[in-house]
Order: sequence, then C-alpha cells, then structure tokens
Amino acid sequence: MGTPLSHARAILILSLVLLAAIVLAVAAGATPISWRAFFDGDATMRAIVLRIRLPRVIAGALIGATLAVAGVTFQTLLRNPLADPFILGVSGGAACGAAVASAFGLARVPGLVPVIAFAGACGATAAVFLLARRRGRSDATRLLLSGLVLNALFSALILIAFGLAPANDVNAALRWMIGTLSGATWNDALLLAVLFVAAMIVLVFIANDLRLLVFGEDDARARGVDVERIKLLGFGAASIITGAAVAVAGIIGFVGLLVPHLVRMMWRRDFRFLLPLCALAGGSLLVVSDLVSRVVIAPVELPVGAFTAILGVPFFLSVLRRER
Amino acid sequence: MFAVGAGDQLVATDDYSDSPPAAKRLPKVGGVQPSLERIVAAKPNRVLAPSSANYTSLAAALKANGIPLEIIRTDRVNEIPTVMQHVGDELNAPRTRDAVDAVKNGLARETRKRAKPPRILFVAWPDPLYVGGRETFVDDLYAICGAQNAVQVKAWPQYAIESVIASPPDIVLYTQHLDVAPLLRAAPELKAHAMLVTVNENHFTRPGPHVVDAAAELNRIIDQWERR
Amino acid sequence: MRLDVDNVSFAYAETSAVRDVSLSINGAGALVALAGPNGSGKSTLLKLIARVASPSRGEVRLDGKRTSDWPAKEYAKRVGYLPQDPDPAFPMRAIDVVVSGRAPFLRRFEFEKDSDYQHAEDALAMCDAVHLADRYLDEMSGGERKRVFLARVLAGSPQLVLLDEPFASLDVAHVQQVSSLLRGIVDRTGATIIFASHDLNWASAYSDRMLVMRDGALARDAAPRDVMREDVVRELFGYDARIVDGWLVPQRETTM
Repeated sequence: MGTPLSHARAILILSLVLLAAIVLAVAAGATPISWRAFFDGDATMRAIVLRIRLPRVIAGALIGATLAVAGVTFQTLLRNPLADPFILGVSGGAACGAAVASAFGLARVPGLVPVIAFAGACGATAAVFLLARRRGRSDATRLLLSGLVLNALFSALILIAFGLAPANDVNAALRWMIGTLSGATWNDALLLAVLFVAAMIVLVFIANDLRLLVFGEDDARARGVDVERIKLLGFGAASIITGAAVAVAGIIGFVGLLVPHLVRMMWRRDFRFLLPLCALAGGSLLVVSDLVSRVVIAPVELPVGAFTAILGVPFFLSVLRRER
Repeated sequence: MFAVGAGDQLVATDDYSDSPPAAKRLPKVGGVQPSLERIVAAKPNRVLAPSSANYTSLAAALKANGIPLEIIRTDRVNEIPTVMQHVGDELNAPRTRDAVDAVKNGLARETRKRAKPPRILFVAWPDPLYVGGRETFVDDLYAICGAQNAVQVKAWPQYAIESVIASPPDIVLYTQHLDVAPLLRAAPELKAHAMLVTVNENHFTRPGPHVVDAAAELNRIIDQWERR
Repeated sequence: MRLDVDNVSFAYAETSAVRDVSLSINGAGALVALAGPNGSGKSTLLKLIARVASPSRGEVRLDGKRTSDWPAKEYAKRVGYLPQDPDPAFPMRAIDVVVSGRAPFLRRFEFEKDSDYQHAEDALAMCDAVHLADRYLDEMSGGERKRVFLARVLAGSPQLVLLDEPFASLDVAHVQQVSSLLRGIVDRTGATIIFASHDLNWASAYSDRMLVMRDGALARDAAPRDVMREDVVRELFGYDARIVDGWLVPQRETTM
C-alpha cells in the first residue's frame, strides 16, 4: 500500500518519460538537423539546437511542471477537483496586466511587459485571497467565486484596453492571450527554473500539512495544522510561479487541470506523492504538445494551447460526468 | 477614393484613414468596431469596407437602416486596378481612367528582372514571429520587383524562428513602429546575414493606389542591397 | 486526562453560539453525550474544545493548560475530533483515510511508517471495519463510512474523542451499531468520548453522563436517568413528554 518503493518507481518512470520527451523535442523540429555538422561545430546547427530549441524545450518543461504543480496545489487547497490556476483569476490578472501595458505602448520597453504580467498575476492572487477571507478565514466556495468574478473583471478590462489601443498594439495583447513558447530564451528558462525550485521547496516543506486540507479546514485545524499559514504559503507559491509562466509564454490552458487528474487516476495518492509526479507529468505534456505544434505543419507553428485544449476538453467533460 | 477623384463624395472614414491629408479632416466613425450610430449620423448613401475584417453584423445593421455595405477586396496587387475601376465607375468619379492607368503604368515601370533575386522576409509581427508568405500582397510585390519570398508557405503564418536561421533571408522588412528587438535576440543571425529595413506602413500594409510607391520603395531597397 | 471548560462564550456575527458554559470532565473512560436541539451550540462547543475555534470569553483547559498554550500537534495527539459529514474532496481508500489520522505523530518530511499502518489497522479492527480497508469511500454505505472516519480519529489513540453528530443520516441498525461501538471503545481503551446528538434517546442510551444544551447555555449536567424523566424534559424543552423505560416515546393521542 503506497510504499516509498512504489513511489520511487513512479518518479523514475515519469522522469524517464520527461527525459525522452526533452530529447525528442530537441531532436525534432522545422529544420532537419545534421548531427555530424553539429558536432563538427557548424554554427547554424549549433544555433538552432542550443539557442532556439534547447531553451524552448526546457522552458516548456518548467512551465508544464509549474502549471501542473499549481493545479494540484489549488485543487488540494480548495478541495475542488475543478480548480485550475486560471479559473482562480491568476492568468486573467497576468493577461490583463500585459494587455493594459501594451495598450499604453509599454511593449516598446524590452522586458517591461513580462514584469507587469507577473505583477498582475500576483495581484490577482492577493485579491482572490483577500476577497474570500472572512474573519481571518477563507472558504473554498468564496475563493472560487472570487476567482470567477475577477476573471470577468479582467476580461472586461482587456476588452477596454483593446478598444483604446492603437490598432497595431492589439496584437501585442493577443500575444499573452494565446500562449506560445516561441522565442523562449535561456534567460526565460533561468527565471522559470529559479522560481520553480523555490516554490517546490516551499511546497515540499508544507506538504505534510497541506495534504490534510482535503478533509476540510476544521478537520485540519483539529489535527494541528495552521490552516491560514498553509494556505498563504501554498497559494502564494503556486501563484508566483504561475505568474512567471504566463509572463514568459502567455496563457496555456488545461495543463493545470488535466495533469493532476491524470496523475491522480493512475496513482491514487495524496498531495505529498502527487506533487513531484505532477511536475514531471506536466513538463512532459507541455514539451510533447509544443513538439507537435512545431512539427505538424512545419515550418508553420500552431499555438501550443490548442493541443492542450484538444486533449483537455474531452477529459474535462468526462470528469464532469463522473462528478456526483 | 481620392485617387479616382471621388474624394469629395467621402462623408466620413474610420479612425485609421489618414492618407491623403484631406482624409484626416473627415469625421471618424470608429476603429476595429465602427460605431453604427456615427455611420448613420454621417448620412452616407453607401459604406465601403476592406475585406480584411469581418463586418457581417455591421452589414446586417446597416441594411436595416437602408445603407448598403460593400466589401472591397485588395488583398492582391492585381485586384487593385480592378477595384479602383469598379469604385470609380460606381461613383462616376472623374479621374478614374487616369488613376487606373497611372497604377498600371506605374507597376509596369517598376517591374524588374534580376540576375540574382534576393530572398526577402516580411515580418508582420516579431514576437511570436508572423511572416508574409506566398500568395499575399507582399509576395506579389516581390514578384514585381524581381525578388523571392524567403517563406514558402502561404498567407500569414506563425513561423518557426529556427527556419529563419537555417536559411537566413537577404533582406528583412518590417513596418517602422514594430519593435523587432525580441526577434533579433532570438535570432542574431538576421542582423549578421541580412539587411534590415523599415518600410512605410501605409504603403506595405494597406494595399491600394499607393502600391506603385510600395513597389518603388522596394526596388530602391533591393538596388541598395545589390550594391553592398 | 482532565478537561475544564471555564465560563466559555463564543459569538460571531452578533449571535451568541455558546453562552457562559462551564463543565469539567475528570479521569478516564467516560461516554458523555452532548444533547440538545439543533442550533443549541453543541457543534460550536465541540469546536472550542477541539481547538478549531477560540472562545470569545473564558478558557478551555486540557490537563490544566489552556488550549492556546498547547503546541498544536501535541494537542492533536491527545484530542481527536470528527466533524459532521466528513467528505474528502477526492476518492480515497479507507486505509489511506485512517492512516492520515496519524498525522500529528509525523515529523515534517516523514511518510507514514509500518507502525502507523499498524495503528490504522488496529483502529479499523476496533470499529469492525478491517474488511473495508482497501475499498474506496464512495463505494461504502453511510454506516461503513462513519466507522472508517471513527477509526481515523482513533488511529491517533487520543485520550479525548469529540464526535459531532455521529448518528446523523444513519439508519437504525447502524445507529445501534455505532452507539454500542462507542460504548465498547470507552470500556476497552479508557478514552473519554464526548458526542453531540440532537436525538435525546440515542444520546442517553449508553452514555454515562448527559450535558443538555439549550440556546447556547448548558441547561443540565446529570446522569441519563436523571434527564430522561417527564418533568425534566418538560422543564428543559417545554413540552409534555412520555417516557417509557427511559425512552422518549410518541404521545398516545395526537393533538389535531
């Protein structure tokens, strides 16, 4: 029954899957790679593999892991299998920040829009958390409602930003709404890696307490958990890395919803076990989705969110059908 | 409309119409979503709209107000003289014949054949990278000016940056207000191998009578490239 | 084990859920019923003892120390709490539910050890639910689920067990089963169980002591046989009861 050995085996399997996905994604793409030329020092081959594909694939793995980890964290904190980093308004906040910044022409300042998107994500998280608080406690239903309301507000603000923006900058706002890994650099990968590792450290630290929240907040309190502190740390860590992911790649849906459920179906364990498994599975899913989006009608690239949605929608419907 | 001499028949334009200068002074009816109220307030007999946008609901609303909406297709270069003729005839514009001939002659004048056609990449949007492909307006311009398209897929796709690196173009064109810095960070080879040139947005992204100016500009750019 | 509830009040949104309640439980091995109609403050009182909520006034003390002075995990090791209608958000097997009751005993990065699983199985055995260990909660009946959650509370071997409406939504056979189970646990382990029930009859059936609550106050603290009397019931609840063999039975004539 869920021995450390079987857990280690699951981690090993998914690590191998992720590794295979990364290798495949670096090897395949719009341009056929001559590996002999690569090892001989050909500048173009090296540029494509080391400067275009590798950081993109690594960023993709980190973003996929981020979204899945945020998803399982939110689902556990809110005791709701339909919670997703985006349903809560985090992506809405990021995209809104980006759209409004673009509308005011700030896209011309390099690197400014991602920072504003990042701030928008964290701001949205704080707003959701505070709105759902009552007498120092927050409640799952209120959190979800707050997220829904904030998303509606952010959508409205984005539409207004579209209306105000000079025509050409409308495209800049769209860049955040339709996620893509195109143009991901080593700087992006580094930023994502640092934040992801920090968030994972926090989540592993509180995992033993966080997992008890699925039984209810009163129950967890009675079992000695400082519920408010755990929610602050868990919600905070998950939202910050989600904000970074949206800042780099824009909105990519369904990974945060889909991966935790898939992992839970295969290994019916609690949060402590699901956390690393979701990270590995989420990374694999996004790397593979991005690979498909790059090769299916190469050299044209399709939005990666389209593939996560194509996989996600039928799955989402089957989960809804099984909901009591 | 100004080219064919029907400028005095214009009662209002959308927010983006700013050329020629006379157009700037006309009342505006809106941008991406034109205001039905403002259009009706201007009391036009008809409304002309480009084919690049979707105006089905506007068309229905205008029809309910007794105002016909006509779509003008100028996506390709060869459509331009035809459309000008059509508009001129519809409006009984005095300079139609001259304007149409000017465009046809101008294009003929700018047509070139070059021994070594340069490969040109038109960047519609830098991040993510959207390019001008085959069977588009810019592609037609390349053909006229004796150049080749660096992109072989059709229309305006999102393009893999690595393809741009694998076979770098000779010339990269983009409109003056675009910030291509993210693209150049991802693909510094472009700066090393290609000539980067900004082009007039009006000529290159709004197909119309200015097509002759666009072709002339492109020819100047290619001539400059040939001299390097 | 000594529990002292000292002039405790709890109010929220201008309603007093608990008003100035005082009681003491001393020594081990008592089955205490917390009886009263819905809204009388039973759940709130249990939450105050379980350290789920803090009193607005007064103190709750365990072994002489205030609940707020106890380290959270230490308190949780001694006091077990089962809220009404527990419903984990995700499908879980019984054994996983029960072993999670060992949480206060785990250190930060520890997983459950074999000894924890042994405690879990012992708790399931005490609740006559070992055969349910590998089954999922949503495949069980209400009574089976209740026994699994009871085992979860017992897995930590607490000295004080607090149960909020353990009989709610159970059919009669299951209520009988759970009732006698509670009696058996008290007799065998020496733990003290305080359970809340709005059903006077089942509250009195096996308990050693009855605490009757009304409108947030403790109206009576006595042995069941001293509560289940027609004059006491009339005084406490304001209606003419008929008590037969210590059991509240329907009136012979209906009033219509």
